[in-house]
Order: sequence, then structure tokens, then C-alpha cells
Amino acid sequence: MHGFLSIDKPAGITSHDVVAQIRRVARQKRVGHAGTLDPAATGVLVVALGAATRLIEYVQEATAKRYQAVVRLGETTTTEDAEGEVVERRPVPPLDGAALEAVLAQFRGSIMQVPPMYSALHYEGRRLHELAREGIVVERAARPITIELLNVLDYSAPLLTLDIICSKGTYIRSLARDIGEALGCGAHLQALRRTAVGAFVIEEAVPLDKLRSGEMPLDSVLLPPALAVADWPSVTVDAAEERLIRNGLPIARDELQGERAYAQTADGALLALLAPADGRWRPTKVFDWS
Amino acid sequence: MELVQGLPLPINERPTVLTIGAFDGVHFGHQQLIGSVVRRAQTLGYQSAVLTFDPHPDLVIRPERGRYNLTTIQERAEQIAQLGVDLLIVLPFNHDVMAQTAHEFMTRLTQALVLRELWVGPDFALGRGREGNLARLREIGQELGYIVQPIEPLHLDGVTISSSRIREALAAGDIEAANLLLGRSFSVTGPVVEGHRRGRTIGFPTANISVEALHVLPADGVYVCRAQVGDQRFGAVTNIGVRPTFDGTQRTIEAYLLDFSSDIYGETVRLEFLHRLRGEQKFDGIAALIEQINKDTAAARAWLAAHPE
Repeated sequence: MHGFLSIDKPAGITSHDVVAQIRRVARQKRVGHAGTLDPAATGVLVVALGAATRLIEYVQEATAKRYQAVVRLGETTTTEDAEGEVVERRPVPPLDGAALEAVLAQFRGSIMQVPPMYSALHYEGRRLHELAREGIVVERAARPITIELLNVLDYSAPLLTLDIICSKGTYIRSLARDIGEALGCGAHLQALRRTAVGAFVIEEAVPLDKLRSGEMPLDSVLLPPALAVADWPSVTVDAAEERLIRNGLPIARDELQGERAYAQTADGALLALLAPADGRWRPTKVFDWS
Repeated sequence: MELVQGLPLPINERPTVLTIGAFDGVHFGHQQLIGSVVRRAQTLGYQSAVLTFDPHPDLVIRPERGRYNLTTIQERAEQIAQLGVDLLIVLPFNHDVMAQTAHEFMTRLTQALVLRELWVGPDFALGRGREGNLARLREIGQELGYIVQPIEPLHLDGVTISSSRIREALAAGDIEAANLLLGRSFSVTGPVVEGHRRGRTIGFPTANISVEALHVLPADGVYVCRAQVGDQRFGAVTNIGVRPTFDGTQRTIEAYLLDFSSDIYGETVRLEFLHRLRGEQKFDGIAALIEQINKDTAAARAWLAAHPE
């Protein structure tokens, strides 16, 4: 079986657990996932089967990952999420829409973010979370991140629900922490749900237990491999061009622009990824779905 | 910002993050949507683009409704430019565009632009009979090579931000509510035209401002404004209404510019509405009217002093 599954991961299991379970259900070894979700987080986890695993890197990189974050105002925690212990409680000030917007506006665009102590980043050769568990807190250097989308979906004190698209390397926990500080009451991330990874969206994601129980057969919800490159330019090739590509030879396509593209066959199946070379388009990865 | 009329083939060959909409008012919700498109494009190294329609599609689809606009196309373009957009496409909306299927429209669009991400506002749909809803646009995107990012409606203090909600607030004379939802001050722009010169005869020369016929006006009454004339700014007291004391019948916009006395016939004035002082009243004679104008002017000065720019 080749293709992608868009799975709605439940809370409490790792992304790797999901892959292991799919391996069992699919009875095949070649299964991988794109973009790890923390155990506590729910939502879209993209799982690749068979030859689609060769496309995982493109799902990882530039595609927009979108999140719905529930931020608990008035409580800070050691881990910046609900897993840790409460450090401090402060009253939440009355917030009208304009006051909330004024604070959120400071976080949109390119900003600097100090990562959490509980993170896999290194400090003098050791993981920060190892130090954190020993009760050690060290100065962390702020890192540049970009918050592209930051909208309020709901606010009923003390819970603030946000719609977020951010760059790779952003800690949403730390964003919650910083928004809390800017509001003067502190905050932590109470829940996180991923609502989209590129073209894979939560509305079409399948609950993991329905796959495990067999209620939804894998092949009925398998998504086409081309979804991984949904935002690349594409061309449909004829039989002669397909033969060239299968032999690793370039094709001439003046209508294509940019640094990358993909070729599909007349039936819509992904044939190859292409890169420009000397005015023509050379296959960089060729797929065989049989 | 580059401005393109229609959809020439191709506009350019840069990968694009695009949003499509009527964007009447370019209100706070529109600003957040367009702002996100600009930031997303910057991260990806793509161009940010907005496609809007002129006239407003409702005018073509439901002419019987007698719709009024919060912004002229010039005002929309100006506000969109301020958000940092690279490319604005103004597509004339006519029965041909209206008759296109979503697939035809998106195909035409992707011939003009290298579309990579399409961002759409709440309840967005395009194409004949609005068949191009979110699910359909995603399906077409699979084929044409773009992904769709829908944006939920924004709320401010329990109110959903929308052009129609802003129109309602203006119709009720609630300028503060309208301005909050707009994310800036509601304004009208137009040339100063010949009026009845009655203001002059009673000691309050006013600028009579001519505004596009389909532009929304706030409820009749007297408002505190700031006026922009060239690069100068003035406080102003503005009367909107039919001037009942003078048996008027046509709605006019008359601004009494504070601390200003030059002749500005023909010049363009932008009036930013800030606060409503009172409704329109009929007075028993000129003396009573003058007394009230003096009170209004004092109230406007006090309001402006308390709310500096």
C-alpha cells in the first residue's frame, strides 16, 4: 500500500506509537510520519505508507502547520504546558477585545522567542530538559521565529483559544507563556491541536481508533501521494515523456517555472519530482506505485 | 504595491500567496486576514497578493437590494496597500465572471499567477451560484497545485466582525462601535462643492462635501471629525442630514472646520468620523440654531482635546 494517512492523533501517545500501530494494521514495514506531535497534543499527524515515505521530507519542510491552542491565563507552570507544576497564580485582568488584540499584535510577524527549559535543545552538551529535571534553570538565547497567523477563536476567561500558523522551531508553549506575561497575568498552554499540515486538514483526518478497529479500512482513507507536493507546479506527461523520465532523462517543458515541479501521468498518478537543468526538467525522484 | 486591472496572462511568474474577497471596508477582520497573507508570503519568499472585485459583486448579483459601500475602490486599494501587499488585482465584476464555474475561475487565475496558497475568509465561496466553497476550492487546488487556508470569523467583545455589522452600527449612529470593528476611523472622501452658502450667512462657513452616491453615510446627526485637506489636519463638526431648519430635502455632508477659514472649493477633503454629538434637530429660527452650533463646537473641541491623535 502506498500513500498517506491523515490521522487525528489522540492525546497521550507519541507520534511513534501511531506509526507502530499503523504498521500492524497495514501489515507493512515501510511506514513513517512527518512532523512530530507532542504526546499531549492532538490533531493532524501525517503518516506515509510504502513509497510515499520518500515524500515525507516535503511534508516536513515548507508546508504550513496550523494549530489551535488553548491558553490558560493566570497560571504559569514549570513546563509551560499542563504537564508541569503550577509555579504561580495571578488574577486575570478584565480583557476587552481591543486590549487582547493590542497584545496579540505584538506577537505577529518576526519576533524573538526564548525556548522553554523543558525542550530538547542543547546547553553545553546536555539537553535542556535533563537540566530542568535536576531543578537547574539556565539562560537560553532567544531565537528568531515568525508568527504568520495569530487570531482569537474564543475567549472565555481564563481560557483563550488561538488559531496559529508559525515557522519551524516555534514553541507554542513559549508563545502562550509570553502572551500571558504581556497580559500581566502569566499563562500556560493547556491544550494543543494541529488543524493542518499543508494540504492535510483536520476535517479529513481519521481518528486512530477507527483504523485500529477496522471500522475504517486503510485503503478507504488512503490519500494520494501527490498531496505531499500539492503546492508545487505540475505537468501531465504523455507516454513518450514517461519513458524518458523512467530512464532518468530530462523533458522539455517551457511552461514550468521555479526551482521544482512534479510530473503526473494522464491518470493523475505522481510520476516524478523534477528540477530544472540546462533549460529542461530532470527527474530527481521517480516513483513506481505498483 | 503593484496594481493590476483584470487578469492579464501572465501577471508575473512569482509564486504567490493570495486572498480573494470583496473586502468592503477593509475592516479589522480583513486586516488580520491580509496581514497573515503578507507574513506568510514573507516567510516563504513568495509574493503576497489580494484579488478584489469592482464593482462589489452584490451590486451585480442582487442589484435590487440597494447596497451601499463602506469604501470606494480607491479607499480599498489605499488600505490594502498600507498592509504591505505586493500585488493588488482589481477584477471587474460582471455577468461573465458571475457565470464562471469555480473551476473555470481558478484555472484562469492560475494561468495569470503561480498560485501556491489561497487564504479565504469566513463563509467564502466563488463561482456560479457560490459552488466554489472551501471543500470545492481544496479539490480544485489538488489539481491546480495550491493549498487553501480558511480563516475563522473574528469576534470583538462577542460581536462578529463583518461589513454588515459595521453598516448597522453606522446606521445607528454608533461611530465608536463602527470604528472598533473597522480597526480605524470610518471616513468619507470627496471634493468640496458649492452649497447653499447658508453657513456663511450665519457665521459658520462649512465645506459641503460630495461623496460617491453608493457610499454608506452614518445616521443623520452631528459628529466630531478630523478633516484631512492636502497634508493639513483640522478638527471639524460635521452635520449629516437634510437640514430641516432650512426645509432641505437632499442629504448633505457639511463640515465646519475648526480654526480654518480659507476657501477650499474643489479641493478634496477626507472626513474621519470619531464621535456622535447629537441627532439632527429642527430649530425654531436661526438664533436657536446658532446657539446650538456654538454648543456643538465647544463640545467638539472638548472631545478632540480629550482624544488627541
